[in-house]
Parts: sequence; structure tokens; C-alpha cells
Amino acid sequence: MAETLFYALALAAVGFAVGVISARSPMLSVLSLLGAFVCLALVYLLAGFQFLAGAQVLVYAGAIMVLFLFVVMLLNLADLSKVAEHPTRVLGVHRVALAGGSAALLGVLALLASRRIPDTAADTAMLARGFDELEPIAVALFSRYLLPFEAASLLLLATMVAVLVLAKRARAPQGPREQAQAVDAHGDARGDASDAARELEGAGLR
Amino acid sequence: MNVPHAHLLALAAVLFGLGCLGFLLRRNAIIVLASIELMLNAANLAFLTGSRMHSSAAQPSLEGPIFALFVILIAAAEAAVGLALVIALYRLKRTAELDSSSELRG
Amino acid sequence: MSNYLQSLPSIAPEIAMTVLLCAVLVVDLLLKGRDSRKVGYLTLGGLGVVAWLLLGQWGELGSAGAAKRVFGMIDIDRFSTFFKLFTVGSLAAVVLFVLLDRRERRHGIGEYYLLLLGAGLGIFFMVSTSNLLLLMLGLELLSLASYSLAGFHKGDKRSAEAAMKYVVFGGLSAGVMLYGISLLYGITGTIDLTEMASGPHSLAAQFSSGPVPVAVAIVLVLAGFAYKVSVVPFHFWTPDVYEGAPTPVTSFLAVASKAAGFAALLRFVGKLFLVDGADGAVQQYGARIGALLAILSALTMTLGNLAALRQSSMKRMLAYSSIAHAGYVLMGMATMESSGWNAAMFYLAAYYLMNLGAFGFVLYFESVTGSDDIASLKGLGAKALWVTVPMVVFLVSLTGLPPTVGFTGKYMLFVAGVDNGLLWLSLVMALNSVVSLFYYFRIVKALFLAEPAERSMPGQSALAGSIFVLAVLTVLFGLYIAPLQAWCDASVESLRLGAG
Repeated sequence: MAETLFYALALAAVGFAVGVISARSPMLSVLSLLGAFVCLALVYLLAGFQFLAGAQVLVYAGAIMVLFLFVVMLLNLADLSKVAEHPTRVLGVHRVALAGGSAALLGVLALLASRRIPDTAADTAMLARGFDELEPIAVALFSRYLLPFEAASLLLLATMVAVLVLAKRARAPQGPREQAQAVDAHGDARGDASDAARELEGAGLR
Repeated sequence: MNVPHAHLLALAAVLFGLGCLGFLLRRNAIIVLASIELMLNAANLAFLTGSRMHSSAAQPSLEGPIFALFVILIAAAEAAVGLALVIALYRLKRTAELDSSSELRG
Repeated sequence: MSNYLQSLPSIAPEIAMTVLLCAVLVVDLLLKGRDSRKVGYLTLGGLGVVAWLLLGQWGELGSAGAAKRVFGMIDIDRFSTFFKLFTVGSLAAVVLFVLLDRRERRHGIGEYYLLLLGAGLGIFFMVSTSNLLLLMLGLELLSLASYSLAGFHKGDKRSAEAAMKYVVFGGLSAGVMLYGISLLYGITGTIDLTEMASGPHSLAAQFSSGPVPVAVAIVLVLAGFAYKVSVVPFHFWTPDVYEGAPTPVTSFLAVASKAAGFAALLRFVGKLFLVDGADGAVQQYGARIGALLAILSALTMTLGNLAALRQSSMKRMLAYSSIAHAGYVLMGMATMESSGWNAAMFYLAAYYLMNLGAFGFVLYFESVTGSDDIASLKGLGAKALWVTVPMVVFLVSLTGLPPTVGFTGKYMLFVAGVDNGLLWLSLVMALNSVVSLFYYFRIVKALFLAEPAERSMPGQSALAGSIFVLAVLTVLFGLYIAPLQAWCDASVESLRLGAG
């Protein structure tokens, strides 16, 4: 029963993942990502990781997804779906790199699938009580992994500052480098919707 | 659930591959960031599978779940910075396409 | 828990950095963003304290057996202290550059220093741990701070775009590396490099049963490192990001961030493949990794140098040149012998000095001419000899000509290559050095061999002074090799590599 459910969830997760990368609008893509996250959370649950499943739902599906959706809604990126896409002209990575990368990935896939794993059955006693009981994890986090825990807090602090630096609106321009751009940034901000749409189209056609 | 570990790893590999493909194929910054999230999720699934493989009742292998927990944190941080930049760039150019009107070509 | 308290003094430099970071945050808030220079001076002072602590640690580590592992994952050895010292040095130089950048705002940039310190802390964790979890967290701390620093001038399209590129490719490399680590964990059941090399499911045992998954995992992790140190084929973000980022940040990315990537890479490869008493399978695998690194090294230096030939912007040129230099360092690594690794360390130290100086020069002239175009330097050579002569020293050193530290480094790499059966790679490097002469010389030509320009040079004595000091060091360490070489030897020795 659980096994069937796993394969169904795995299939759904892959389906959602395909949705993420093939959706025309960012909104659909982000919603597919949400689906994939939830499927994976259920897979974790089936595999005996209750705590991680919870964390996955709370942090990924909860916090990160809200962030994504917030930005998508804020920027009204739905407009972007009108812009024609050039699938192979990406980021300066050309067709060759693309084909090579995909081929290499398929190779990895085949390798992994064919890898013989000596012990396929998980410890049944462990399966019953789960692999990530809260108590041992909490103890490990505050003893053996105390230092990474503290490093993570620094990481979050730095990220917070980094995000604030990047996302807050630029103040009145002071450096000469900014002055050149200031007209752009502020003039644009009040441009009407049709202007924005025209700019978008121009950007896509270039 | 008693699924062979190879199947869990294969699911992780498929998700990782799809994430990679999405990264290479798409130009929309949001979708590219979403593809990266997929790859990080694939890594998490592989971490948990590793923990399943090496855990025994006497000695649970906690590195897997703990690493996965930190990966979630890393993913959140990356997404936050990436999305903040999307906002900053959008203010400047009103587009989220990574490739359009790049001043840094050549 | 008590042994954790006892090992706190061992991580005093990290604690001092953290305290400094928090102090910078609080002081900046108290100043309400006014007069950020005060925050900069505070940062400089704090970095001095950290350097003092590190020097004390280096001295303590002199006695045998002083190297230890604390918190179960931080290796206190001369290798990490060496890189931490250089990180602090380059951070101080970058902070100075920010303070002396005439085009930077004077107010509201306290975050600049905080992010630099955050990136520095990330490097501290990266270079000293053999635990992949802490390594990854350090790497991410460095990366996230760097993304934001690259996009610090967010009103500037080039800066914002550079940051976006950096984030996207950084995210990809983090994903690839994490996936590789997860496979390594699945194979060996541990995330500690030492246990991976010697534990019950050690990599050595897995080589014989299934070499392919191990190879896939290792290659994926190496790809993550290759991104950080911009080795071909993961180098393409480098020129764009280096050009778009503010120049002090570029110097940080080119120097501290890249060397940190190399430090972590050296430790990763060293702990896994060059351990004491490694058996035949591991050595064979190590030799293959060496061959892979040798090929990457040849590709990296050649592509970097050839691309640099075509650049008209100084920052882009230095970006490609830094790619080429990554290839040189990789060559020392590829020997998989401690002599080659010594040479790689020495070259990294040389790279710190000459690249910091070169970027300082770019900063100086950017503030005068408003661009980093080589053409805009025309005829300015005689106007500011205090800066242009040091620049010539840096360029000579970057090319690898005597009497500079760059020459000594390249000579050591060459000898190490010849001694360890990489004669072809040594020759490729020599040829590449000749190629690099052409584009480095273009700057000299623009400076001195053109009609003297009318433009007057506003004095920036402090910046010129720091550039001059770096040039003196570049020549000094080129003439008196012994001390720097002894430091490098002691560092590599502390990694306890096998006889190989």
C-alpha cells in the first residue's frame, strides 16, 4: 500500500517538476513547484522522516513559496508570458553546452539507477519509529553540530542584511555612478502600464 | 514503506536533472530560481535516502536529516537574495528575463 | 560540553570576527547611517585585533602536536591560519579601498563593511573545516554576502545585472555541489572528510565495489569548487561579475573569495586522496583526480589568457587573467605531491599581493578617468609615478618575470611540474606566460608610450600609498623567498599529506 502510494507520489512529483520548468507563466511554474514540494513532503513522511516532512511543508511550502508568490504578484510577471521565449539562447550558454549538459545528466541518471545497493531494505525497527526522531536531532544540533548551528545563524543575519541592501529602494543618488541611472530608475517607476508592456516586448525581441 | 533505495535515488536524480534542464532552458529569473529549488530538493531527498541506508536501531545516521535541515535553510537564503535582486532589476528594467538587454555581453 | 568551553580559545579569531560583525551592525544603526567612514575605521581596527589573534595562533601552532580539531569539525592548523591571515589582510585592503574610493558614498554604506565581514567569516569556516556541512555553510555565507556586494550599486544596471548572474550561477553550483555531497554521504555514511577517508564505509572500500558512483559524486563536488575558483568550464560568470561589481568588491572576489575556494579544494582533495598510509586504490584514484586537474589546468590557463588578449576593459582583462592564474594554481595541485602543493600555496600568496595591487590601481584610475578602459589610460604614466610604477611591478609579477614574487611562484610551479611528470603542463604554462605578456604590456604601453595627456591627476595619497606598499611587498617577497616559502611549507605540512 505505502509502496504504491510512493510510486504515485514520485510520479506526481516528477510531473510537477516538469510543470515547473515548462510552464509558460512564472505563476504556473511557482504553483507547480509548490505541488512538487508537497509531494516530496509526503514522500519524506512515507520514508520515515516525520520531522523533515514537517519542516519541508512549513519552510518550503510555507515560507519560500510565499516569498516566490509575493514577488510574482508584486511584479505582475504574468505579462511576461506574452514575451516569446528563445529556449536555447540562455545566459550565454549555447546549444552545445546544453546538449552536453543534458547528456551528462542522463548519464548520471542511468548510473544511479543501475547502481547496485547491497542492502535495499531499511532497518524495520527504524522504519517503525522514524529516522529523524526529534530528540536525538535536537541533542545533536546543540552538541555535535553546535558550530554549524551558530554558522547558520550568521548566515541568516548576513542574508537579512544582504536582502535589505538589495531590495530597499535606492535613496537620492549621491555617487556619480548612480546619477546616470537615476533618471532611468525613477522615471520608470511612474511609467504607465502600456509603457511597461512596450518595454517588455522590446526586451523580448532584442 | 519498503521501497528499494535505488528508486528513491532515481527520483532524486530525475528531479535534479529536471532542475538542471530548467536552469539551462529557461530565461525567466523566477523560473530559473524555481529550478534551483528543485535541485536543492533533489539533494535533500538523496540526503534522506543516505540516512535510511546507513541507519540502524543502535546507531541512527543523523547527518542526513540534519544536513537536509540546513539545506532547507540555504535554499531559503538563496531564494530570498535571488528574489530581492529580481525586484531590484525589475525596478531598473521592468523585466525579469535574464537575457534581455544585457549590458554585460561580449 | 566542558570540552567545548575549553576549545573556545581555539576559535578566538572567529569569535572576534563575529563580535566585530555585530559591533559594526550596532554602530551603523546608532549612527543612523550617517558617516559610514567611522564604521569603516572600526572594521579596520577590529580586523587588526583578529590578525593579532591569528598571529598568536600561528606562533602557538609552531610546536609539534599543537594542531588539533575542536568542536569535532574545525581543524586548527597552520594551513587554515595561513589562509585566515591572508583573508584578514585582503579584507583590510578591501575596506581601505572602500574608504578611499572617491566615487563611493560617504553615508549609508555601513552594510558594505558588515557584508565584507560576513563573507570573511564564511571564508574562515570554509578554510578550516573538514566537515562538509560546515564547509557548505561557510561557502554559502561567503556566496550570499558576495552576491549582495556585487549588486551593491543597485542603481547601476551593470552592478545589478552582475549580481543577478552571480546569484543564478551561484545557486546552480550550490545545488550541484550539495547533490554531490549527498551522494558522497549516501556512499560513505558520513559527512566528515577524515571519516570518509578511513571510516567503515570509506571511499577506498567503495572504489573497488563501485567506482562509478564515487566518481560522479566527486566530480559534482569538484564542479562546485571549480565554480568558486572559476576554472573552465565553470568560469563564464567571472568576467561579467568582475566587471559589473564595484571595484573594491571585485578585488575581494578575485583575491579572497577565490583563494578560499582553493583552500577548501586543497583540503578536500588532500583529506580524501593524499592521506597518510593510503592504500593502492586510493592512490590510483588520486592519480586520476590529478590527471583531471592537470587537463582542467591547461584548459583554464589557455582559455583565460587567450580571452584576455581581446579585452579593452581593465577589469575584464584582469578577470580573464585571474581565470588564467587559477589554472596556474591548479597545476601545482595537479602534481598531487607536497612539493607541488607548496608551490600552489606560494603562488596563491603571490596572487594575493599582485592582484590586490592591480585592482587598487584600477580603482585609482577609475576615479580619475571615470572608466576602466585601457585606452583612457593613455599618456597618464608620467603623471602619477607613485601609482604607475607599482602597477608596472604588479604587471611584471603577473606575467611572471623576475625580480618579483610572481616569478618565484611560477618558477616553483614549473619545477614542481617537471619533477612530477607534468613536463607538458609546465611547457603549456611557460607558453601561456608569454601570451600573457602581450596583454599586460598593453597597459604599460598605454601608460608610458603614448603622447602625455593634458589631464591633471588629483592626488589620492592614501590610496597611492597602499598600492605602493603592496608593490614593495611584491618585490620583497620575490627577492627574499625564504620566509614566505617557510610559511607555505609549514601550512602544507600541517595538512599531513601522505608521502604520496
